[in-house]
Amino acid sequence: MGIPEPSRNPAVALSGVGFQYPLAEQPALQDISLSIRAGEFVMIMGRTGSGKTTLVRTINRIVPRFTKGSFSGTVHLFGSDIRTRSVASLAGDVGMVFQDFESQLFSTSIQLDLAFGPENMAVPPDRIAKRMDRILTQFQLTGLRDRDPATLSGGQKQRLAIATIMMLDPPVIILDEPTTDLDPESRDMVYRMLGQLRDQGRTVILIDHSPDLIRQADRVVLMDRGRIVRDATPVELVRHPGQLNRCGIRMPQIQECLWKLGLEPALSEPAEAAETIRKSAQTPDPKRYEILVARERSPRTGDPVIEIRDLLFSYDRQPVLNGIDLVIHRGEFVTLAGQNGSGKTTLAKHFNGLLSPGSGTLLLGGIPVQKWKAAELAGTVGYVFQNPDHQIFRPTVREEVLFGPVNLGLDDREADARVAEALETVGLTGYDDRDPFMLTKGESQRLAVASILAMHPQILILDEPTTGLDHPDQIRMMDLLTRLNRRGHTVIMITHSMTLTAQFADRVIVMENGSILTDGPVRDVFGRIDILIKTGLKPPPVTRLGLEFDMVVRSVDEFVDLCRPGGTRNESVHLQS
Amino acid sequence: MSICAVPVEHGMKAFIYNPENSPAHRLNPVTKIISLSVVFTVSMLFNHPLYLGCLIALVACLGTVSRSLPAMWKIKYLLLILFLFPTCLWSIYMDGTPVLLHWGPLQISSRGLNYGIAMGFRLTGMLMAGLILLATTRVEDFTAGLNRLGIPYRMSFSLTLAFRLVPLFYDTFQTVVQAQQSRGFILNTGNILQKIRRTLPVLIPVFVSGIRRTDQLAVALESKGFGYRRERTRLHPIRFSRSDRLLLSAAVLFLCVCIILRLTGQGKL
Repeated sequence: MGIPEPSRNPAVALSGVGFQYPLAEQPALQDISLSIRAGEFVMIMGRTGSGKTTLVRTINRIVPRFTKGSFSGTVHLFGSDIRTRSVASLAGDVGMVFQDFESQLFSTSIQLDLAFGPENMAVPPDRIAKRMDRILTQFQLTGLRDRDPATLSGGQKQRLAIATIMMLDPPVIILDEPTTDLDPESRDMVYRMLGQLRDQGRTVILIDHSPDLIRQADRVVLMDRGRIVRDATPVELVRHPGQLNRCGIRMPQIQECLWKLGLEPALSEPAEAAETIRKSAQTPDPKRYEILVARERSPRTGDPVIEIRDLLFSYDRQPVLNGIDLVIHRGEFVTLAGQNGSGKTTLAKHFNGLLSPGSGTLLLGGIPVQKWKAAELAGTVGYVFQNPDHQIFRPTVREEVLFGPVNLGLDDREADARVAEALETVGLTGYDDRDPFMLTKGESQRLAVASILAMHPQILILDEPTTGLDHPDQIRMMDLLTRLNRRGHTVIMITHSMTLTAQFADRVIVMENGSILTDGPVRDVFGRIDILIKTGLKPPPVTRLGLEFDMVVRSVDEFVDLCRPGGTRNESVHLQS
Repeated sequence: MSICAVPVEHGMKAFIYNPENSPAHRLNPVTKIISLSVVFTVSMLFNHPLYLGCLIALVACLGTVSRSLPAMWKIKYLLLILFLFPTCLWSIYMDGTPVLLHWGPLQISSRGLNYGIAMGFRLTGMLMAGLILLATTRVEDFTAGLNRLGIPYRMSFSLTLAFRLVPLFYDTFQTVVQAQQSRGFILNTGNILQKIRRTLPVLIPVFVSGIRRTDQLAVALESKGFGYRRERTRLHPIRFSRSDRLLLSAAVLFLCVCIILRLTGQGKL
């Protein structure tokens, strides 16, 4: 184990690898050939279902050992064929970090979780202890060795999950969407750690949806429908936005700006990109920016629908919310942002009475929330939980959506009409008789929204509705929410995505340690970059680019519009379909 | 129990284990497992309420020494039900004399009442003793203890996996209840049959999530080399100390005394 001497053999070599799940019509992988040099950092991208996870799982034999199906082709690790090896026997050669970090931590203390791997490999205790000291420091978990992993924050958990794998000292490490559930700061930290692993000479294979990261990769492999459609350096890749788009990947924002302005989309930071733009004499026009800001409708439009005064909430005698004052108005599109564990979900669960305030008042439509009847509350405030798996239980999509209206006591005709309407709104018309357990992630997320929409709630709360979705599904979800908001629904969305917040919300509430740190129109809050950075949130790249010109810009299109003399978009390079 | 800075949505929480440093925590898990089986055996030997009452008193003392009373307090209602249920049932169903109480077709005999109390003590005593083991032993040590007693590691791990999964299922259960509540679902309405039907919206998602999670767990375990070698090392090897030898001798002595008592016809109704 450890990092082998450089040799001519590639770290990972797949040749002619194919895989088909038993009931699938299409193979999940078709004729994959891929060679990764020792010490390379390779990113694998593609839309959901394109075969990324299946591909990386062939490298430590989870596919086909744990997954039924027909496998073909060969996989070599440092020149040796692994066809006869078990997953466990490969643990010291290939480390695998999964998206769901919870399922990888199963011990009662951090040190026991760290020791688990080496104990399995029968490493002597004194060597485990030594290795552990080093790993705890490297992953910034020193001083936490006796803590119960369940009490860690999301970022700490994911760092621990990676650390438990590094305890086995594998020369190759694979990470399957390791940061989907993390706030921006924890995400950056994980990426810094990946950089360190590469610097140690390890081979890093990363699946991630976020294109703003591709600059740190040596190579990017694009997948589509089970095939590798492109294998290129990040620099080459951003020169072909069309192909990225076809594979369901958003162009990195800075590079998209440069590209749309007809400039070379170099992999530069906002400051360098700003310099390039200045040189090209296409700087954004301050006058047009003033008009844009002035024209923006004031977000606080309707009457107050949720009014909170001095809300306190504790859990296990630990304060979780300390003195929240907040008013949300009818028709607003609000995002609740903040680090994992800052109290966003706890606060939102008060809005529909799932949690009752420890003290303080919460008025819903002017009436204290405690005085609402449960059914009326459910019909007024809809709450879409993060994981659709936690609510799906009916054999068909139609029956699943029908559950809410039936609970409200609606008659059959009315209930059926609402189901049809809700399915149409979320774009699932024709799915009525499909099995909800067989939907894709994006579809089941929209089904969850439909099942709430069918109850016609005025206020719609969504907990991380875009987490784990690929770009096309994210945009579909955000378009849906925007449409609902225009129809008059008040939308409250909990999210880590600063990109989506900037682009779609009216107002952003930033929470920290159970209090509201800042609250205001999106443009105002994103202008206060110092406060954002303090809470570990970072404005999206295009906003940081705009700030180089003293403007708070919300999206790539907005930025490009400000730069163009005529103010019209050049359709030939318009990417969004 | 476990200290959380924030409500943890999902994740493995200490379930019954009480992170203290009592003498019982420092014992070898093997000692504790053997002592527990002694308590189990002894409680099966007798059916006299006095003898089983003494046994429960002993268990309660051990509970105090091992600081496991908070864990017992947490399930006080379960303990109470486990005591009352057999007591009432046996009192009513067991014939005998003298009859203490007549109430319509029901009659309670002194023999039935005594036997019922004994059975109540037996169940609660066993559960309390089991709780002491769980409250003073980390799941990992429990696994190692079983392994040391000759059960293969894979099997020891699977046997104790339940204790790791219970808190997780509980968390999922709570989330699912809330998710369905948000769809206007109310768990407790209707007659018994409707009530059972009404648990489906909660049970199915909990079950499905549970299956998905155990699948992921199996893959995650294997990816960390679980079951690769027959012999594995331990970061903190378990040791036999003087107190282990003392307690084990006491337990064996206790068992012998009880067997002799039983053979001489004591402790029987």
